Amino acid sequence: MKLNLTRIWMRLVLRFCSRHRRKTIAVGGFIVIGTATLVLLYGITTGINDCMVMNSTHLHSGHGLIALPDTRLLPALIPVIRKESRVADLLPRHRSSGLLTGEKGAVPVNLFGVDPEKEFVKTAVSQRLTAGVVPGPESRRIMVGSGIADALSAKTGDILTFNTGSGVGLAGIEISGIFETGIEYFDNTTAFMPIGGFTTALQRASTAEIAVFFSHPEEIRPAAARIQQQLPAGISLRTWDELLPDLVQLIEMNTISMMVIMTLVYLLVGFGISNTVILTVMERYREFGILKALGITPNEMVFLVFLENFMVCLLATLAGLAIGGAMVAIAAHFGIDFSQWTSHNRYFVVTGVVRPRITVAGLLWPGLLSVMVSVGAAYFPSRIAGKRTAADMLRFS
Amino acid sequence: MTLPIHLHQVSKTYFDGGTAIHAVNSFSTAIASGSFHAVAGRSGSGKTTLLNLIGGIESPSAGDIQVGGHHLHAMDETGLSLFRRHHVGMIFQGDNLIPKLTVYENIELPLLLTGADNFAETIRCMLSDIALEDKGDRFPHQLSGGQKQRVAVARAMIHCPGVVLADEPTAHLDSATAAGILELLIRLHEKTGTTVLFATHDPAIIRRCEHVITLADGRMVS
Repeated sequence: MKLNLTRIWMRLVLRFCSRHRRKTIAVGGFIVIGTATLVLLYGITTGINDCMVMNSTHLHSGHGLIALPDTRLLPALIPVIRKESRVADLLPRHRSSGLLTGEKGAVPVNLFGVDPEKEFVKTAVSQRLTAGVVPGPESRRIMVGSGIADALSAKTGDILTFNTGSGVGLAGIEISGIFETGIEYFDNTTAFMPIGGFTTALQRASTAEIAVFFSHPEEIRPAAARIQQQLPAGISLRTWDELLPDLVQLIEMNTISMMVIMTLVYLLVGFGISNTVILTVMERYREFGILKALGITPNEMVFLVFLENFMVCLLATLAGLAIGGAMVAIAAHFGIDFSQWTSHNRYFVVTGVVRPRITVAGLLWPGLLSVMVSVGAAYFPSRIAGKRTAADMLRFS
Repeated sequence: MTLPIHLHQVSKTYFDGGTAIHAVNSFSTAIASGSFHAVAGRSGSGKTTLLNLIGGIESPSAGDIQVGGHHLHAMDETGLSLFRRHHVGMIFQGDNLIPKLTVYENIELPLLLTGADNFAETIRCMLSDIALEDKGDRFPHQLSGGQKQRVAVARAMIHCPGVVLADEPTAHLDSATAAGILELLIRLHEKTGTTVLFATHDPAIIRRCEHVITLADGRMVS
């Protein structure tokens, strides 16, 4: 192209874009609405994924879990893990497996010795209480899952006994509360009591674990790797995606299916844009015919029409991203309550309120899709304008 | 630079269904550079096709067309476009102007395309020549028919082309306005010396031209 692009084409393109307002609004409107919708959809998808992760990790495991063979390792490891700047909170626990016995039976359980003031604030188990209250510190009171209470036919206030396989036990444990998360395995096997209620013998017979909560749960890998380097050999930090592979798969499926839907929706949008541009090219046949008669070459005509439409699409894409981003921010502020449709879903045991979130991919994907579709939608009509001769165009009009 | 035109056995045939229509039929002539020719003939006689062939807007079915040494029949579409850009000014019947560009911007177009610089003064002088110096920022729909054609004349002449082809520019105008357009074209022709072909079937206009090519059924009759 021999002509000075910036001086001539940009000048012409800007004039045509600003003065063919109906066409600019029609084409731009398609793109703005399409892109903003994609950003919102992507934000909602991310929000749903976040919500599932949050529901799964805040019930018990945290974003990462370190299993220790001996409770005596806890005092040395906790300060090491706290040094990592991305760690928001730690929940050290004692864990003992044994038989919980009541008046009407016995069930195998995992009994966790916890700091109630932290455990029941940070995790969501306390929000799922169906009876009683959470146990206070230093007390020999227990909170059990609904499956355990059913199996023992026990209620709050009943007294139970706990015995490990190695003969260490606790007697006179009072049920302070019963929780029900809806996750059968968890409700049937999990019980919590304050660490102060554990005897020294029981503490020695227990293993330990540390639930780690990160300040940026979406980017835990580097922080987890740094922590892992500080841990003794044989001890590992398992992140939520390693602990919950089914959730990872669900998130991936959710993301991919949303992308497929977005692509299909955008192909339809692109078809609409292309049609609109073709109609406007045909409406402007005489104008293009005159331009060709004045000496614009076929390639320059293709470039001119393409650039004109692509510029509109590009600006509309940016506007769509901004509007979509604002919509996500508003939706995130108020939250979208899906509780009605998630109450029986194990991945939404804590809350069904989704807060959409903007991510780099959430802006990049709709932006790229919009630009790609814009290129396609602008190219075909520009080929039509380039192919027709000046005589054809003047005669046709 | 004004250009001579040579046509040798030029034909242009269209096909309407299976029927061949010879819009221009074995047409030969030589037009001296710097002359002012009227191309006369009734509607359908081939005036527009002849002008389109000379302007490189259409390619001949047969024959040779030379404009200032440029062999148009041998050029591809891009070559013809560049030839028009640099050497031809065109004025059509009816809507000549780009509707979304102002008078100034319409006149500026050929200069932009030829890569001219600092042409504001040139356009201002041209606006003055066509007596529209105060209407540079108007859009075509804000002008009368005669004003539009004056702008079209200005746009055709602004880059001093070798040939100006005016295809019945006065067809939709009253006789006084038509005479004004012709006067303008003659005045600019005298100022620049460019070769002008003016298609018309108006006897009053034909009488004013120094040379006349008369067409009938695609052939030159005088």
